[in-house]
Amino acid sequence: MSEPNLSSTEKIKQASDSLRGTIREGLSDDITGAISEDDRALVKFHGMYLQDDRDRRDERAEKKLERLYSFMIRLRLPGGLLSADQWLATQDIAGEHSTGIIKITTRQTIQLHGLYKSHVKPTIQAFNEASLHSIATCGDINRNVICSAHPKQSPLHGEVHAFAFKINELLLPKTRAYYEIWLDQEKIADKKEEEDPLYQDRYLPRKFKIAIAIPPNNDVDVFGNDIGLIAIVENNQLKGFNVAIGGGLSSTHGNPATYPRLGTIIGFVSGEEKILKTIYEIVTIQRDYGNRSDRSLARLKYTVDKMGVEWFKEEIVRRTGFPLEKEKPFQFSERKDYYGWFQNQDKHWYYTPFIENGRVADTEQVPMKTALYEIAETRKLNFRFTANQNVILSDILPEDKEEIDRILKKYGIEEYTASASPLRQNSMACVALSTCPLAFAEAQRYLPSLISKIDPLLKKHGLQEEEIILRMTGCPNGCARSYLAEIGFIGTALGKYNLQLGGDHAGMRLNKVFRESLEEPAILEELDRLFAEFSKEKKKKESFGDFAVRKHWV
Amino acid sequence: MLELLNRFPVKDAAQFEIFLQQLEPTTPRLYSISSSLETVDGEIHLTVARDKFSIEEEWKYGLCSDHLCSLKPGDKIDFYIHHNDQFRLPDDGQDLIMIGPGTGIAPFRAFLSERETVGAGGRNWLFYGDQHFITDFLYQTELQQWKENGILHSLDLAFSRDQKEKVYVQDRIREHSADFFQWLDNGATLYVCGAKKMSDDVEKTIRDLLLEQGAGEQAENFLDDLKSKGRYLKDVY
Repeated sequence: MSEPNLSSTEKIKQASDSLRGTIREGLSDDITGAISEDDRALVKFHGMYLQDDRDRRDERAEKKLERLYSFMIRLRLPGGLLSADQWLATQDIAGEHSTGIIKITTRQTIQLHGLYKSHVKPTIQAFNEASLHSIATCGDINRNVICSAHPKQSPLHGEVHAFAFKINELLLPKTRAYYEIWLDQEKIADKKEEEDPLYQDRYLPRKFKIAIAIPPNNDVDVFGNDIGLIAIVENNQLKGFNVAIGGGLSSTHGNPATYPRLGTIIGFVSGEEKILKTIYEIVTIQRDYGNRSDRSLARLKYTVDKMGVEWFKEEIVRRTGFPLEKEKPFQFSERKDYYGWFQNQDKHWYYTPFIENGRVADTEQVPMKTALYEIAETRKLNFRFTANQNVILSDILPEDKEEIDRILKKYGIEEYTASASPLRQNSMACVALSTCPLAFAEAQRYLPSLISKIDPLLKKHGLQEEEIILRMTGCPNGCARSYLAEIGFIGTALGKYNLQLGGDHAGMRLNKVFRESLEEPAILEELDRLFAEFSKEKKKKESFGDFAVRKHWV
Repeated sequence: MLELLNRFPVKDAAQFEIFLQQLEPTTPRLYSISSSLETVDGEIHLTVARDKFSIEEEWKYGLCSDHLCSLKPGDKIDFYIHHNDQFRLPDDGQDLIMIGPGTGIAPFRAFLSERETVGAGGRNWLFYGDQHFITDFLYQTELQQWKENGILHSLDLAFSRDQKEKVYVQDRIREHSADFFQWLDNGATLYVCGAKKMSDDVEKTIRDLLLEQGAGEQAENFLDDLKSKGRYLKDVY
């Protein structure tokens, strides 16, 4: 199919010699910390963004210095699993090459910020030594595949989790560019070796996200993904998955053609071969029919709405050769992480500490980084990241629990986790300023202090035990899934946020804008008023989001 | 001097008289001008590093550089122009090799700026270095511009503290020695500006390279010959 007006990114991808571009030349250009505009689009496919410290633009311009460029690198960790040795390596790499802070993302992986150009290659090589890579963790391609995190959730957790790995493998690109550019592997002689029947030379029109949820916990926000898989378990057996398509949370301020959308369940599929085939063909349909001229309308959700859900279902059958079954009943009731100690059916122990906005650092409040390093040094656990920006210290044998517990106590981690208010424990924020180029407003640097002002309001109205899901993003692209929060803040300008209300506890309903572009005093005033009403008139077990809808606030 | 007096106080008046007679008036500090009147008429730009050193574990700053760095827009200073008729641009068509790490870049910024303004045809090659790429790349955006628009034919950088092995401008000369001598054979003028130590290291490297190429005795006279032809100019401090 030929499209009349391919976007510039489409042209860059197609002309890139399988994502090589001039990245190699750009790395050796030592008069700038940046790389060319075209290569900036390509390094995303290698797991990096070129960013700059927006706080320092003016100061540096005055000094006749270019912007303070640095790279963000994101790892590929299907299902969010990392060994203790890999965690140690990551912390060492972060200390040597980046800001030293590890950011746990909202998609079960980790990223490092502030890598100067000369540090990128050594970083990737060091990750490679630890059997870690960053292939296709950004860019127009299938991203990290996420899966409900906590093994206590189901005896079948391991079986479901394995699908994250299988889907991940299925949808990796074939190009050897990553290995040549970053790991100095030899150039392949025969181009046929990297022929890519799935991505061809154009990849996808836009990013592509897949999540697997195990009811009753929808911690992955399965309906916010291009493909959402809901594990159906009957009689302690994994029967298969309900398949939802076309979820996606980004929108653009001032462009009414863009909107957040929940995934639509199109049926049920069972059997590994059929499951993988179905997913593969959904991706090929998006490859062939997605919008390649306007990137703001290129996600799968717009393709689904443009072509129609029924057409999409039929097209899947045309491509797979088998029909989807009728969707199976399921029930989500929550989206939270289970803080503290839990044991699964195999008698393994799990501890989830609270890590505010996923930033693993040593702060005045808690030496999280030091503690996690020492815990990893025992090598008696795995690390599992959650879609709520936390880590689960995992798979700890009963005889090792005490040793790890002792370290947690030594650094005050348990105390810190217990002392975080329910509101704080159920909050998320994206990176935003100063490094995200998309941000209009602060998020992770600001939300902690805002919560410190909201908590007293909850207390004032006797609501301090309410587990209200609150999320903040610095722009409407929704990285921290603010459109699925009970209280969502979406940055519109520095210090100003749209206040969104009405999301539910289970992630089945988008919120809506309640007030536009509020500054902090107005935010607090509105919330104070809303909390008063909620406190007085809430029904038993009624959540804040449900109450907002019942009251027609939105 | 105050530090010295503090440490070795002068007690009697006669001794203090002698001490005072030893003192000399503050000498003028000479700075290379880093702008060209061809480009910015009526302005003089200086490139000043605030001299910082420690005495008895206390940070001290250079008298003049500290004074200059503390000035605010609109402040007035006394100055005079010290003429230097040697360290000048050659004919427009001639090639330049400029070695100016740190504030040694000052005259070369003026050179490049003038060459751009007047449209001089000669090629320009700059060796620049300092400690850190991120913080110490003086005139980075201007140099990038000149590289982009072709005024700067070559720009070789040596940031000494960005990697384990320290790298200096003379190491970059060594890496590009074939081109370096070819430019000089073609009549390029060689300029060095900056610290005395650096210029000694640069001269030693050039001599070593010539010796390695088997130039023998010629190696010793190479720079003197250039100098006598007015094609090797130094401004070092």
